[in-house]
Amino acid sequence: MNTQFRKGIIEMCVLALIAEQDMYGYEIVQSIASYTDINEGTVYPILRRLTTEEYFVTYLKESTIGPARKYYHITEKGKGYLGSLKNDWKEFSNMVNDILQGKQKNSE
Amino acid sequence: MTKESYLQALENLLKKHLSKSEIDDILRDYGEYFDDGRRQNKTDTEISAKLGDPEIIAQQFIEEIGNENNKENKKEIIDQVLHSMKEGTGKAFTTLKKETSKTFHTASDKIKNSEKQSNLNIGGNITKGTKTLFSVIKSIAVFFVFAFLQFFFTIFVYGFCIGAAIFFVCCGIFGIFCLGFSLTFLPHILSLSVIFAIIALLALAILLILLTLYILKMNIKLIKNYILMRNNRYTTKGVA
Repeated sequence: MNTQFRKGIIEMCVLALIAEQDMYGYEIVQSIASYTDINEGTVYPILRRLTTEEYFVTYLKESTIGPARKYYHITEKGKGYLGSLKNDWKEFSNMVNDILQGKQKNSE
Repeated sequence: MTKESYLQALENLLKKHLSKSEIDDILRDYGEYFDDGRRQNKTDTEISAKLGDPEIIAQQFIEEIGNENNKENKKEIIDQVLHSMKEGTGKAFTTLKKETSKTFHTASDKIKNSEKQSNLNIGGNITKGTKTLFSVIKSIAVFFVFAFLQFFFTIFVYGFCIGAAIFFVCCGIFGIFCLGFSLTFLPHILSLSVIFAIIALLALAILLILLTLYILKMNIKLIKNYILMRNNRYTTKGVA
């Protein structure tokens, strides 16, 4: 899969996961990794950029085991961005499916 | 790789591109990641294998920073362009003044110098000086001719239209008085025709006012286009 495309999809997945609940770095990476095999290290640059663009805010939360962890929380701006990404994805996947089904129809 | 060597490798790769605080932030995130992995009984080797090559990760961070800077630069560039467009007209005038005075000075200097030199050079220098002088005068003249033409044409057309409109309105009012006069003295048919004449005159006046407004709009457009043309001419002159 093309790198830029993959990055964009991971962006959307990260936003979607954090929209459900606040998570810390390791948690986010493990969640995505449970769905697909990715280069786990590449999630942090994405997290960092999305935070710089104010789609996330971060806070430190004390934990019972070990030092305080950095949690990510989605902002209103981030929710809006997630919504537009979801629409793009729906449009795109519908288009691709149409083409693929069209091709199948023709080959039958 | 161990946690320490992985973080060290990352730091070395990022040192030249990012600020200390940004690097510390990033290293803390990855350090946290190693700690959480260790807590789940993973080895450093496993964790660093899952993270991937530090070079790839460092490249991503550097790219992100580059993109942020580009966005800011683009905004700055757009603002600068708007700013320079606004200043463009004023600058065109000042450069015109400067160029004119410069050319005058160089021309007069050249003429003075040529008087000191041999007689053979005088003719050439004088023609050079006067040539540049003429080209400058030409551009000034063209500008003023255009300006005056516009000016007089506009004044003339407006004056004519407004004058004619006022004239017709007065005729209309006068005609109303005539109507009152004619109703008492003249037969009704004639007064009917007077009424129609009044209506026609008023309609004509309204038409002329509309025409004036339309010509006003056209003139504003022409002036705008002309100013844009002039700005282009001066910027290309400056470049050349």
